[in-house]
Amino acid sequence: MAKTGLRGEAAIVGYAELKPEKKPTGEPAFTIEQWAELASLALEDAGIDPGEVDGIVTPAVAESGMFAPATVAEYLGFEVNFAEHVDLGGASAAGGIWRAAAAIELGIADVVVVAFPAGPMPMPPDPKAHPFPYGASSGEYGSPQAEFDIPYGNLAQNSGYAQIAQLYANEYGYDERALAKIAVDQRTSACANPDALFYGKPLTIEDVLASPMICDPIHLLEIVMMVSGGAAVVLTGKDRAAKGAHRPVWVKGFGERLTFKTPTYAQDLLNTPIAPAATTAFAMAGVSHDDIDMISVYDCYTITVLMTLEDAGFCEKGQGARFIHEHDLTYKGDFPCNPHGGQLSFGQTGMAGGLHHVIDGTRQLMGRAHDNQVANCNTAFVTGNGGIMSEQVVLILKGE
Amino acid sequence: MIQRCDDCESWIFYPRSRCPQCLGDQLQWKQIAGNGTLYTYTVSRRPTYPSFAEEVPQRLAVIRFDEGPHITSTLVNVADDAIEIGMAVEPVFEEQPNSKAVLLRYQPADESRRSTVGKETDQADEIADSHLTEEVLSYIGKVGEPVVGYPISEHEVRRFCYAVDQLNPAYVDPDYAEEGLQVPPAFLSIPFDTDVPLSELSDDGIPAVPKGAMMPALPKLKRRLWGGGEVEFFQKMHMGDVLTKQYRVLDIYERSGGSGSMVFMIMEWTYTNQHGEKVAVEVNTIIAR
Repeated sequence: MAKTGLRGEAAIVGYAELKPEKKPTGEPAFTIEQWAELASLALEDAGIDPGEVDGIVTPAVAESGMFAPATVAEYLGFEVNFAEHVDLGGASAAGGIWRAAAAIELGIADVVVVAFPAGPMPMPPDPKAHPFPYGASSGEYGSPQAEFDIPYGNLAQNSGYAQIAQLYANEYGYDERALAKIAVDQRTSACANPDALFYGKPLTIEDVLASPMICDPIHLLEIVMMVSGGAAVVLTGKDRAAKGAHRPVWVKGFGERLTFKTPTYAQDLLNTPIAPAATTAFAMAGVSHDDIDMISVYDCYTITVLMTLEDAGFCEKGQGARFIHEHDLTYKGDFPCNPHGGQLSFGQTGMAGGLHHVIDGTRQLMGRAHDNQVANCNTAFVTGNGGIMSEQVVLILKGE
Repeated sequence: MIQRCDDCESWIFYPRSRCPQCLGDQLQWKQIAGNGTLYTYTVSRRPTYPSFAEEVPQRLAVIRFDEGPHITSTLVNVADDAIEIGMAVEPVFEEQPNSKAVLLRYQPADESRRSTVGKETDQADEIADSHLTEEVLSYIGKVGEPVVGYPISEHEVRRFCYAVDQLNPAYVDPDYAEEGLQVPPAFLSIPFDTDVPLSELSDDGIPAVPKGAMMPALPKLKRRLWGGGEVEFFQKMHMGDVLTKQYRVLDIYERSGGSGSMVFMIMEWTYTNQHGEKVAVEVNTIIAR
């Protein structure tokens, strides 16, 4: 099969990460102000002048329901050839990375900033309550969810992921200690990362299993905690990247797959869109599973990690629990998974949570991770996950 | 009634304007029995949204119609341990008391799996988990020892008025009112202090039990918060009055909320003056969670 997609000639050359905070200490700022701050920090890290930016990727901005990229570009004083608003939930950041890399390889942009603000925002003087603030579920007029799902209480994320976990349990069995070990190993890594929300707070499998049951079979400590923060990265092409301040991290391959919004309407919840996305990404990058030195996979829930390991082909379907018991998933282990702590222990900074996975991989490949550095780290597997495991982006990153 | 596509003969749910298999627009409404099997489910121990608090535990299900399509529903008439993925289920139409809406719930088709005790079991569980032990409930109606305040003085009233930025001359300006300075109603609780040294405050900064009050121990509920209050006045306070307040527990009840169950304590303070006349009654709600 002919190799299609990216040539691997666009690289991440700088990044910025705000420390996740449960109680924000900074002043509230509008999304566009945060965007400017994050972009400035990331460009400084990359050693690139803001005047050279000619591409942006943004999530929705709170200040403008439409025209998000134009709102950002105008505010920051950018005139760009490539302006992208990505709306893939938790997969938006990873989705934004490959779009930026593609724009660079197509020659339409040279320096692309991808920024995801997630800090506190000022309250409007006359706050208008959103009529249906149902998290990931839409209560808007005409929304199928509003008519067929929300009236039954089937809304937001917990119950959907729990329904997937129950179905998995029915098909393959459910080793709750293995699921808990994901959270525990990631906490061990977070304890080596001073920026992590749960730095200095070790965790045991017993702690996880003793935490309250939220939605059978998911315990409280298997669910991310939403906090404030924000992150940005800068990508550029071959020539500039070679002259950069850091080891360039090349976007070698990607896959993207989206299948549904509400799990009810998935014909087969056990075969997630992770599988086709990963197959595409591995083929495009021309690497195999054995080449992967670390993974940073979207971990909104522990079940997401287990199913990613299986569907991405790191182990056989149904063997995820065994794989987790057999491997040390910490940064110093034989299969490093989310060395920054994962969103479970680093903190889930809203839409920026997905970008922290990209930066987690980037930091390791650049060799800038200090105490939680993975030894000999050259190839990383990164995922973004949106909706209820229904929107998947896989990235293969390579430091060289 | 669900849709069926004339072009590709697939069944469709939820209703579409075009078939999600072939994008054909020749869709017919067909009556179906509504029977199916349980595709997957979860039992949510916390309300998925505050308005579903009364439904906890929510048995959120995905039903596969015998015709194929899936539908969101909740399971009724079944205990948690009788739920099994793949079991046959049948519809239960449930009219909503407060609207014309009818929701389509599901119960096991096999009668031996059904239990009307489903709900009773839950109630038994709730009672077992309840914070309202007999000991706690015995506090309802208890009356505390009277607490005597210190005399209401012009000096203290003035300090209070400046602190709350209430500069009405009737309260603070001796030249204003010929019959003397008035006492603002909000001063009611001021001439009492809690008499608790800093070192004896509990973790949440509140005295373990305010002087004269009685509260049951709720070992699992570490935090207390103010749930509002109202005061009814029967007569004015005057400078020089010495108020006495007395506590009574009006009610204690429990509610489940987004963060688990909470205990509401409704307490009353009755204020009388040195002549034994009732000045005011204050009813406060304290929430322990």
